[in-house]
Amino acid sequence: MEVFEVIWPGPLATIQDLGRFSYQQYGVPPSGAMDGSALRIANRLLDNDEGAAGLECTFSGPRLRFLNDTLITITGGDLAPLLNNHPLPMWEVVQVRKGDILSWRGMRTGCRAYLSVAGGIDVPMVLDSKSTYLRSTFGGLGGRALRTGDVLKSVPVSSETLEHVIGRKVPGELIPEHKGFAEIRVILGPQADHFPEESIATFFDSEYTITPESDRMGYRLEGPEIKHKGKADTVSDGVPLGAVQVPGDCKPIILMVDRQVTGGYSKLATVITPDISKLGQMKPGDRIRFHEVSLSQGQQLLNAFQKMLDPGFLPVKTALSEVEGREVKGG
Amino acid sequence: MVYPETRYLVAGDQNMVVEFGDEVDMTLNQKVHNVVSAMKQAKFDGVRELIPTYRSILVNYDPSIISFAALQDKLEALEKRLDFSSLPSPREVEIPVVLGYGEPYKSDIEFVAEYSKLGSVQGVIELFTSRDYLVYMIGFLPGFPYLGGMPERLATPRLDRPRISVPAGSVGIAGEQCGIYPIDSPGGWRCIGRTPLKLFEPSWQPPSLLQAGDRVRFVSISPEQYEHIALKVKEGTFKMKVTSQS
Repeated sequence: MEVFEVIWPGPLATIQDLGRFSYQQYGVPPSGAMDGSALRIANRLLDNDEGAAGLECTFSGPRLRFLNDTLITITGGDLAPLLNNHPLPMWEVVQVRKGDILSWRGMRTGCRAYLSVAGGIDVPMVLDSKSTYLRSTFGGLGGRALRTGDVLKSVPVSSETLEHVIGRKVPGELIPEHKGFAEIRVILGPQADHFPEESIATFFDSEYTITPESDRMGYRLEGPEIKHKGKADTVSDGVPLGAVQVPGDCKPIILMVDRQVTGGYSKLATVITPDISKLGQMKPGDRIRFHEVSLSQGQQLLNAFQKMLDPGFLPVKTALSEVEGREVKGG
Repeated sequence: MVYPETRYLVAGDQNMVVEFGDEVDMTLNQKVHNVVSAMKQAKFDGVRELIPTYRSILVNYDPSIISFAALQDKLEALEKRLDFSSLPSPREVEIPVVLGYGEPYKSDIEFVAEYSKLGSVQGVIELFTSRDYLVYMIGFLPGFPYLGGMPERLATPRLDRPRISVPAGSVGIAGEQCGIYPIDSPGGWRCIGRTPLKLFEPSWQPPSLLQAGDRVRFVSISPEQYEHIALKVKEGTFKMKVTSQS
């Protein structure tokens, strides 16, 4: 089903799912949503597969005209979406009609919003994923960002599913707050032994600012220098998501979803998975402070984070019970 | 050096680095491929992805299925009973390449001829194609092979100023390293030749022509052969020469 056409693409809107796995051994980065939990929640509200493809809108969103009646959900950073020029609630299922216009006022908090449509956006799978990888121009919509005139399709869904999810919303207390500052939890390693104790102390005692040279590949940080024991370079090895590498200029870089899979700078620490989504909402000028957790603490936090996103967990159920007996709006 | 004892390093909440040494070395890298092969055969529960590199393996695992400590135990045991004879033999892949024809290849190969004191382009071609190369790892770009085994004499420093675009298929030298650009890309390696083969194609399974651990043999071809093969590659009728070493 044709779901919408692009009137104006906005700064950067790409199709993303939860990423492309098992191909890093061939040099292919995972890509996927920078704030994966926001996309998962949007999909869950709509009863889509949690890995269904949505639109990642950076800094502001595209102006779209809907070509059919459907349901949508917008989650993630608050880019102030508007439907026919009226503020559109986020974190809930919204009905849209053929001819409706979606637009955005732009960033209020966070910087990446996720637009999911019932069924998910329908583009071909490339290496088991619908995620766009801009640098090598594949995945998503021909490996590129949305352009004016693009018409996107959605995977068909039954009317029962649509009726079933109408009115769902995420309870307010479960909606993450995005501020201009965040504490980012890391586990030391794999190459913390390449740094003297003073450098590690500086790393945890200082505040770092995200610079404009930051994108889906990585975030360059500005702040106190992290000096190495010896050389900054090491024999290239694998780069995990969230690796904090420190090149010769002694300024840390956090590697994100479109990172190169191998790299030769010493890696001081690794951001825990639950805080990657937090980083995904941070923009140039935002500040972070690193906080050390142990491997076992990190894995406990990961476990709790996964549970929160598990099927059947609160966001949807609470939402359903909350709306029971309530009039379905716009219906 | 190759460590006397393998190191198992924490890399966040769901990755482990299995590190065998800290240099670029064929014996060390061969160990990486042997352990990767053995791990693929063993199919440990909870291990999701393996990324072989020069001197280590990045192992992505699911800590709700296997703990770091349990994974380390399994890997230590696996390494102890590593039986090389049971591992699949590496593939040997023939890569046709036109050497020193057209720019930037002509200038770069002439530079290598001079820098190596081999004196002639023909000398570079003969030496370059006289060896088998080992694919240390795929990285930098999708499908980009880092090749080991180049004769030391051919080692040439990178360009002072990287080129804005190096064409896909260019075979380059950077110091003692050798690699092939899978897509047009900026790059500072000295490009001595070009292969008509496609190194990366997202619709292939797997998407990369070469895999870590493969052996590569370069075969010098003429510009006419290049055009002929390029056409076949485009039509999808080119059959790459792959043999399995015994």
